[in-house]
Amino acid sequence: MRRLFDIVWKDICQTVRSPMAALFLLVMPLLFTTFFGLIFQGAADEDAVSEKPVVALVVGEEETPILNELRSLILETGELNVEVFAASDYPDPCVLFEEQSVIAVLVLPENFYFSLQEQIPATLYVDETSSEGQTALYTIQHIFSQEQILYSTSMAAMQAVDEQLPYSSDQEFQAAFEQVLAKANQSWDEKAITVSMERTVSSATDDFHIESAYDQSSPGMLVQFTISGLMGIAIIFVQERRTKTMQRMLTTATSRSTILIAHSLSMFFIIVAQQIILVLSGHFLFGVDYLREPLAILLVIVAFALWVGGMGVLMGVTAKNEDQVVLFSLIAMFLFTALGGAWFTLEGTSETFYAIARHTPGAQVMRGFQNIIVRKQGFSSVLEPVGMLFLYAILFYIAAILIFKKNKE
Amino acid sequence: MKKIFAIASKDLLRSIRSLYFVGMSLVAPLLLAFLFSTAFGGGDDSTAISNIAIAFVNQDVPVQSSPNHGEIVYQIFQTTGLKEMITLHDVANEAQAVNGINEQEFSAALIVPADFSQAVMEEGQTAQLRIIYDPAKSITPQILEAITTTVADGFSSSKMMIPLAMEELQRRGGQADEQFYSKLVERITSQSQKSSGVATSMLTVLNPQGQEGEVNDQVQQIISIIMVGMMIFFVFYTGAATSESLLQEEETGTLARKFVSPTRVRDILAGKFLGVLITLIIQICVLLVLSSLVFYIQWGEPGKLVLAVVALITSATGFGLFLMSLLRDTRQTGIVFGGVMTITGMLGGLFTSTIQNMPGFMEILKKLTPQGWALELWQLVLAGASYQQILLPFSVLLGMAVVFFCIANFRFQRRFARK
Repeated sequence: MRRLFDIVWKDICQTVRSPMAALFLLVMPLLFTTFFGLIFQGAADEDAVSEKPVVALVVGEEETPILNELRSLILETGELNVEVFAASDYPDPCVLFEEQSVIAVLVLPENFYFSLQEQIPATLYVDETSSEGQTALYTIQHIFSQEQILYSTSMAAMQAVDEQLPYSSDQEFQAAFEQVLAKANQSWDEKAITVSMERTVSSATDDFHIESAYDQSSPGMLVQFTISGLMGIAIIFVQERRTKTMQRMLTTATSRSTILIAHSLSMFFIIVAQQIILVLSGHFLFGVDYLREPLAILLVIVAFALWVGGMGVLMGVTAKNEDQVVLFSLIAMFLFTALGGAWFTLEGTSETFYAIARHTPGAQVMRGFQNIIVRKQGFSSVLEPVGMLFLYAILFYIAAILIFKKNKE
Repeated sequence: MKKIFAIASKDLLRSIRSLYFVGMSLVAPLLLAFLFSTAFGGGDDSTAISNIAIAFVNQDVPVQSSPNHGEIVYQIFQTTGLKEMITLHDVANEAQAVNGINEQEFSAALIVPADFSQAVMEEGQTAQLRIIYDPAKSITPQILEAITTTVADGFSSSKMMIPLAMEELQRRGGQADEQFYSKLVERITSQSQKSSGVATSMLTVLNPQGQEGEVNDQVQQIISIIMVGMMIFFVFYTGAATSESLLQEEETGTLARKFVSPTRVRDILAGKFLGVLITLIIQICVLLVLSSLVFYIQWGEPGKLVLAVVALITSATGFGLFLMSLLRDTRQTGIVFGGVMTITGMLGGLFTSTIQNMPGFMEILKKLTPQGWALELWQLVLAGASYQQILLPFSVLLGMAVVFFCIANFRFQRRFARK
């Protein structure tokens, strides 16, 4: 037992002394958490964006009757600013993207009305791949859709009346239609059916931390750098084999299993310590609500550390040199972090990716953390992901033991 | 000259034979691009958002002979275009729906209240369709809200039609009879179905090039941007990793052996620099070819692409040599690979190239790193920018490369002259 703890202590000392370890285990994750937190906060915070994106309204020389109405409707949304350009100055409206700082260009045909059925539709030029472009698209589509609903409702009402009591002329019909449309516009402020949005978080819980911009980046970076941090620890294992210190140890009364258990234990302790520091930093520096269920978080940390430790030992016994450890660790980091939803949420991913990714160990860790910090669930919510992580840990340890036993170096 | 090429080819061979080089220079960027490509549905017909599992709780109690309007909501979600995106699962009550969300079985729940039909049919009555969602999700609640709002607006507008028609008929002195009501109901039904469509016929949407945007094209653009970010990161990484051979040879004494041979220090350094340059040319060519074959990335006009490759390779070589010239031995290189490369890549926007509305400070920080300028140049080439537009980032990158190269050359010359 004493030999085992001697090896553990030696590994821990060796890791703590290395500047690389400090860099990967603590400095980088904190730096990245801050960085991504600031970016997501900045991207979400409207005040951080100096100006609202501008939509260019391109109109013909003939008076376009709804220009002022449309401009007001766009400005009322609070999402966009509007600048008006003459179609004669820009026969090719796409040029506006190069010459002006606009996010979208809306070209209105001459005499365009929302209420006219047979007419050339307006054209919206927009880059749907950008979030600003999507905002412009959805805002303008919503305005058009609302106006179209009002128009078609008023028209349907008018047609019903016309069938019952026909109008004498088109002019009379049009004049009556304008009045009905105006009434419809007034009534639209008090819709019969509305939609409400609610989170599943119960009102009894303190949801102060829900909006933290770090709720995704803090656990995400914790997962990423815990996996990448194991490279420093696994290297020790490889160095022992390469410098033949392991062979020397084996000539003593230390068994192969003691060495393996000792290295696993040292990895486990280092990873747990790293995660505790990162969790506490996340809570106190970035306002992520980790400590509302400390036991549940600790359980996730332990299960995660066991799995990462298993993977580290597997790398340690498989890699032939330090370069291979670095390579394997980075590939593991990229793979499990991306699949785990640590960089981006899995909800927007394709069906195949989601089906595979949601069962990976990284996804289980993210689920465990987010059940507590975002979904505000209780202790029992982490039991399933923790159970899955234990299973993965067992699988990785079994693989490592089998390879280590076969390895007679 | 022969000696320069001999040193360069020896370094090149050493790099290519190394599993580490192959892994870090080629496998890692392709693996990442593959992951992102699969994640966002690139390469096949599936959309990024599909089959969102939603719990549907219909508590509606129909009014007398009227149909169950909750059922109508369900049927609207079964129409083509919506059913591929959203899969409704009938759930008995709200508690079960919330439980399903907590278990991550559903992304959200749509609750139709008991007074829904009453609100649709009876004047003065209102109701609320409730969406309860998983707070860890951000995209699916927005989609569901947009669709449900359109459906709700359909019902609201249809209900509004009755008083509008009645008022107009009365204004003209007409009387509403059974036939009038039945025709009105027909129109309401047709109106509700039409209103469930999201697109509007009064608006045509085109991309900034004036073409109809395809979802797959957009996914392709995202993958291209990600691939560019990954490629720049790993090219800079390889530039530094390959330059490390100078320090390795210095430590193992093979550099000293070269110095005692009739080879000038300048030639040895030139050979080393050339080795880095050729390694990067091979790496970038393989990445460009593989990414266009595997991910169907259109890299743009050949002339501009060559300029972007030249600027990237020279700046990555210069930066790598510059960093290595600052180090004493290979024990310090880990920090450079892990720390400096990652931090400058991060500041250069390589990991956040798909995020829009970046804070203002990020734009300033980007301009301080060669990676930031390289990203700008490649994004312009991908977007089909003119030669005039790419001139600035191209010139800045070349300028940076010259400065880095001169500093590295000066430091190495001085360092090895002492030996």
